[in-house]
Formats: sequence, structure tokens, C-alpha cells
Amino acid sequence: MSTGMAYQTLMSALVVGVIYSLVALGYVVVYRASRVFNFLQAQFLYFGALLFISLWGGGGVASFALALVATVLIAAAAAIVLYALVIHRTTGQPHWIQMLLTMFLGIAGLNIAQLIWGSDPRFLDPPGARVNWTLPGGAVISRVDVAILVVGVMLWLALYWLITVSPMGVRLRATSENSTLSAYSGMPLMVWFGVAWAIAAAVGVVAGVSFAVRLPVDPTITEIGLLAFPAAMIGGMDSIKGCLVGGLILALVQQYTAVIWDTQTSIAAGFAVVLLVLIVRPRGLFGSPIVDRV
Amino acid sequence: MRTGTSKARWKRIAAASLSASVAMSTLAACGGDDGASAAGGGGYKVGFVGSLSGPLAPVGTAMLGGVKLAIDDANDNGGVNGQKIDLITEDDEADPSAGVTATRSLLSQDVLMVAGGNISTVVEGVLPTLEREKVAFVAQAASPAILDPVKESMFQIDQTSSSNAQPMVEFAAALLGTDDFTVGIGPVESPAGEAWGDNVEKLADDKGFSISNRVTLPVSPGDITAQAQRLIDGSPDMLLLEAPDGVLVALAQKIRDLGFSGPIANFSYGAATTTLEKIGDKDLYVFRTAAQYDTTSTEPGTKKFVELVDAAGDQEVAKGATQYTQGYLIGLMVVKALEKCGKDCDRAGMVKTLNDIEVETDGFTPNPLAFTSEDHLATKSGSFYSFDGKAIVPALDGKAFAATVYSLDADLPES
Repeated sequence: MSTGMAYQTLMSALVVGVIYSLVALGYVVVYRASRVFNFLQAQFLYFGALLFISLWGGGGVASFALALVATVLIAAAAAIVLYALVIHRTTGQPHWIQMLLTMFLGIAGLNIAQLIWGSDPRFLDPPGARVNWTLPGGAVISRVDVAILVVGVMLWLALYWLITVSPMGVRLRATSENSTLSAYSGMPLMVWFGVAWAIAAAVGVVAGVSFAVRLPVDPTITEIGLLAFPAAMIGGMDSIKGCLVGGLILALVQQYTAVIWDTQTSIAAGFAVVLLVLIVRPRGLFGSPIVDRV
Repeated sequence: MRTGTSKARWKRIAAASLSASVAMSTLAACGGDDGASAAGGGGYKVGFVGSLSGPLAPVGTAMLGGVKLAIDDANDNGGVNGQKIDLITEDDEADPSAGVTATRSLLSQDVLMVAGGNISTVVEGVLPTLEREKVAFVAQAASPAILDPVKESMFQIDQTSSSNAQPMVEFAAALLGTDDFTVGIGPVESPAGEAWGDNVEKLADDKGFSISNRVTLPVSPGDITAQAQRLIDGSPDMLLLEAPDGVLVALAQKIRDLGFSGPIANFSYGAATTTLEKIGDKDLYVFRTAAQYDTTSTEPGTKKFVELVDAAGDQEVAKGATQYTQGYLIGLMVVKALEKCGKDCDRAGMVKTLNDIEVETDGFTPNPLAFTSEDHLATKSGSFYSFDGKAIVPALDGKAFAATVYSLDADLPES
């Protein structure tokens, strides 16, 4: 592999890594709050991307941003309703029941999305999609990819503060550490769990739209959502910091393997890293020592 | 005691019900084994099996639309041999076992023949059932493994994807104006894709051109930057790809982003008009074995297709899915076969008819569709098209490129 190819691969891996980290954030936020593996996260990507395409009828950056904010708000509200109507009913049940519930809801969600929008690939033509910049050293990066990097990192920073530093983050952590004590102390668990689901849906939308500006949107986007799950496991299922690191590690391994070998090997390599991390450090690189197993 | 009697009675009822169900199922499966025919006066019953639900529903539904287009046209013009064609549809759910159930249902309804088959694994799954009943199957997506050796009742409307290595290589030579060129090739991740890639490599050995890189492309779009980088590594003169539509959109854009400005030729069962319009690349060519919804064409067959599509209001699907066109070709074949088979056509007669038939498409395909007892591939050639910024136009003045090399003797995957 030439130096130029390695450099270009690094730039691609950074963009993909940031998107993976956004998907992983969704898994981690719900897990931190309720210790549930939320397999609906991949559907948040798909629904988010499709809803955004429906809301954004073309136009400039302002209308794009407006449609994105509207999609985030709608998805967050829908996630709260979904939590209140369905997921909350299983509170107190073993976590594997909730995990299975999210899996089944995911399958149903995929079919519902296809009923609403069909299965045909949908294309997004964002403003400035065909504008490319050549970086010092020769690597090429598109304006869209730069936007993904900037928005992704800013969102990660905001969520890092919100979930680990802010009073809301402390409350979310308390609900996961001991939900019974939290309830006795007057904390409205349903509200906090709902907030976690809303955040997961919101970052899912941003990740989905990030994919949609680079790739056609069809049901296979949910597979990409699941491919990002190892990022959360590498970084640690309850670590916001780990999401970014895990996403970047996963993307770097996958991208370089794909350049050197092929796509299938790259996917296998990504999961090999997860296996390695699970064997050497089961809680992930930045995960807390206590981790529930399913 | 009373409970025991009751249990025994229920057991008898259950056994009787089960026996009756089995008997009815057997009768249903064997229905028409004497050769369903049109002599009953109810018209010709033609079965269609395709993916009408699930993730591949757009493909199967588009194909069904095309089949209906040709059959409705025949029915609107008085039918065939004075009889209407009754198209009975069943959903294979893109699953071989569901396909077998769907096929049995069609057989129980005494269909003369079955059309459809948009997925090779489903075609492979349902074929034994149809062969047992000696019912003709005109499909779109049979693999070389199914078609070689020729089976009496299995017919393929389109050529196999692996055979398209030949026209793509010859197109590259014609476009570049030399036989001494270098290409990067991108077969899709499937047995058919592997066979296509192997055939390009065989042709490179035979003809002396070079392959800079062979990069397997994913079936579904993911991040394809790595593949794009590898394809253009080694400075090829041209790229030959077998990318599905979704992958092609992302891949073509990424290849251009990375600075490759040479021509790209692609073949897949996709590469629909809307896809080419979306990519908007004048140097991207797609190989098609039939014309598409082209309102500017002067070919009588294409003009008629456009008129029918307009009348049916199917412009969007006709532009968005090449399977619609393939379905139309299947429909044309069905109509012609019924016409030739005669008023009292039965299943055996239909198989015999399809083993010696030619359908003139008036320029909709480069050559007439034809089956002989030795050759069950209806199309033999195709042309390349690109988007010129306004419309899809044929490349090299619409020159047709044959696809006869490796049409059936492609390297087959281990079964």
C-alpha cells in the first residue's frame, strides 16, 4: 500500500469512525441509563434518514439544517412515546427481555418503514456534495465529509458534557446504578429513561443522515447500524469517551483491512478486534468495572 | 371412562382431518398432471412467481408490472387465439421454500406455464417442482449452474451476468480504440460476480489486455472508499464493474472524487435510468440487453413500449427498475408462445413450443428473443448507454455487443 493510499484511507477512516461513534453513542446512552442493549438503534438510523429525506425537499444549507433539527425533534419525541408505551412496560423484568423486545421492535420497525417509504434506495443530494478539497499531502476530502467530522465531534463533546458532567448526567447515572434507590429518592425513572431513549434517537438521526449524504438509503443501512455496535463494545458499553475511541479503532481496522484485502475480511477484522478486547478487557477500553452480561 | 371415549373420538377426528388434509394437498400438488390446457374455455392460465414482499419486493413487483404490460396489451387486443390470458401471481417472498409453496399453489391452479423468478436461489429452489410436473419456466435470474446443461423446461429471458464479461471487454477496446489497455475490475460479491470476474481474467489472457486490480464489491452500499481506492490504484485506462445500483451511485461518485477521470462501464440487473440520472456522469456506461423507457427512440419496439408504459402510468417504475423491462420481455415471450402453441395448448405443448421459438421485438432488443432445444438463453447481445446530461443515449451509435462467449460454460461455484 502506497503512502498516498494509506493517507487517503486514514481520512476515510476518520469520517466513518465519527459516524460509528454517533451510532455507538445511542447504544451507550440507553445502556448507561437502563442496562439495556438497544437493538432499535439501527432502526433509528433508517427511520431518521428516511424522515429527513421526506422533510427536506432540497435547497441550501439553512433548509438542510432546519430539516435536520425537525427530524431530530420528531425522532426524539417518537422515542419517548415508544419508551412510555412499550419499553417501560417491561421495567423490572430481566434485561434480556428488554433486549429481545428491542430486537423484535427493530424487525417490525424495518417492515413498517418499508410500508411507509418502500424499499427502493433513496438518494440525498446535500448542498456542496460534489465539492472536494485536496489536503496537504494529497488526500482528498469532500465538504460533506468535513461537515460530518465537525458536527459529529461537536455532538460528541456536547453529549459528553451532558451525560458525564451535567446534573442530568448524574441523575441518569444514578438510575442505572440503583434504580430502586433512585425511585425512593423521588427521581422519576420513567422520565430519565425516556430522556435516554430520546438522546439515542437523536444521535441515531444524525448518524443516519450522515450515512445518507454519502450512501443511498435503503434497508441495508440498518446492517451498517449493527456493524457499529462493536464500536460501543470496544470503547466500553457505558463509556461516552469510549464511543469515540471505539468508533475510530473500528473504522481504522475495517478501512485498512478493506484496502489491503477485501470487504468481507474487513468486517471479520472489526469483529476480531471486539473479540480481542472482550478477552483482554471484557468491560471495554473505557468501560466501568461492573458490566452486566447477557 | 367418558373422558377416554371423548379423547378417542377427538383422536379419530384429528386423524381423519389430517388424512383429508394430506389427501387434498397431494391432489392439489398433482393437479393438472395430465397437462393443464386452455381447452376448457376459461382462457390461458399463466403463473407468475416473484418476490412481491420483503426487501426485494421492488424488484419482483417491477418485473410483474412488465409482464402485465405485455399480457394486458395482448388481452386488450382480443387476447391470443381468441382467448384471454389469465395471469395468476404468487409471492416467493425472496425465499426458496416460500417459492416452492407458491409454485405448488400455481400448479394446483392448472397454470400452463410459470414466468418470473427474479432471484437465482429461488429459481433453483422451485425448478425441481416444475420439472417434475414438466411445466415450462421462463425466468429472469437463473444462474449458469441451472442452465448448464440445458434443461427441457427451464428458460432464461436474459443472458447470465457472467457472460457479460465479453461485451464489456469488447466495449472497452472499442471505446479506447486499442486492444492494449489496462482495466480495473470490480465483480460483485456473489458466485455470479466471481464467475464474471474470472471470465474477464480469461479474456485478458486470450486478448492480451491487462488487469491492474480486481476488487470485490459489496452487494449493499457501505463505505466503499477502500474499494474505490483499490480500483483506481495502478492507473487503469478504464474500470469494468458489476455493481448493483445502490453501490454504483456511491462508488462512481467516490471514484471521481479520488480523481479518476477515465470511462467506467457497469453491468448489473439494475443500472436503471433514474440511477444514471442521479449519478449524472457522461463517462459512465451501462450494459443493457434491452432498451429502456426512452421517449426519443425511433425503434418501433421501443416506441410501442413507451406508449404502453404511458398508458399504464408506469413511467416511474419503468425508469427506476430494469426488471420492469425484463418482465416485459418475459411477457412478450409468453404471448408469442401461447400464440404459437395454439388454442388447445397444454403443458407439454408449451414446453415443445418454447424449445423452438423466436420473438421479433422490433428493435427493443438488439436481436430477436429466441430459444432452441440447444439454447435456452433468449438474449444474445446488448448495447451500452450513458447519460448525456439530458437523456440516456446509446454509446458508439448503439452498436450491439455479443455475449456468446462463456454464456453457459462459465466457471461454476462448487455445489
